[in-house]
Amino acid sequence: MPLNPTQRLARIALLAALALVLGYLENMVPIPVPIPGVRLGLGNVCVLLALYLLDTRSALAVMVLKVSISTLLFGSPMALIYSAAGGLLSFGGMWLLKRWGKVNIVAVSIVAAVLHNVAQVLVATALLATPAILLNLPLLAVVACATGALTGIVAAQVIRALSAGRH
Amino acid sequence: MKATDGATTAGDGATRRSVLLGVGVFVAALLAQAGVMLFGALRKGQTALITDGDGAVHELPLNSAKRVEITTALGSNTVEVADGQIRIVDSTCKNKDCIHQGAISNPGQTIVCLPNRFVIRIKESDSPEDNGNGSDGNDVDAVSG
Repeated sequence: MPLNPTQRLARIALLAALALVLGYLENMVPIPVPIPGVRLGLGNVCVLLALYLLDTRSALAVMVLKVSISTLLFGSPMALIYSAAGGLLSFGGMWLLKRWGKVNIVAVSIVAAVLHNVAQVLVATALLATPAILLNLPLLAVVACATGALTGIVAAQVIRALSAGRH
Repeated sequence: MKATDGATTAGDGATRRSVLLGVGVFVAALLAQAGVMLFGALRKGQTALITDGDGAVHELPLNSAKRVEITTALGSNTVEVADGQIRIVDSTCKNKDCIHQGAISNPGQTIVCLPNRFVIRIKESDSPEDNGNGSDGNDVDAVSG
């Protein structure tokens, strides 16, 4: 049964709200890794869900809402540049891989997490005009593989539970 | 919400391809990190270059212990030099990420405090063999000036 525009709007709002709450909770629970910028990225589960359960435009809407509202609530204008860059590049990666259709959601999530870090390190390098910051990227990418796999598995399980629950 | 068919599995061979892609990205990142660490271990840094929020650059040799506070309009960072390493011990920023980054000592390593726009990086020592070395072209500090 396809969603009508109102249902679609409600789902986007629901997923965006969930992403904000997950992002907030995540900030309260520090990850015991002595690397700055490492986050679990649970909010991205919502963008993945929108991409797989709704459509590309809805997923983009969830991502833009997540970035803009979380910056308004918790962040600084500086943080907006970083999270917007990370969000857009990772969304581009997710969209391309989903369109390609030959890898599963966990791989899509891993690539998204790595691209998020790539964008943020590139922005930091450009803003601070310090190329040496690029040297932080490999370690961040290694950790992103783990966090991306984790969030991908969460998204896959949610999709499975939702489709099982309808029978 | 309706899951399209193959939403999570994406068809035949997808699992194998997904594992390959994931592992490939992971291994590439690991190799790059190994390269960064090797690169740092091959060189001995002795001077830290500190760029503060005003864009001013401070040079701080790492061979003598000291504590310096640098304040700009964006905030204040206190750095400590000890045992040939430098770290940020206090900062006015919110998340204290810069403090959690710990101590650095090798060329190419950085500590960054984004809110205060405060960057510490380790410079090559100015020993004669380093200056006369023509293979410094791929050196990070040569690139960043």
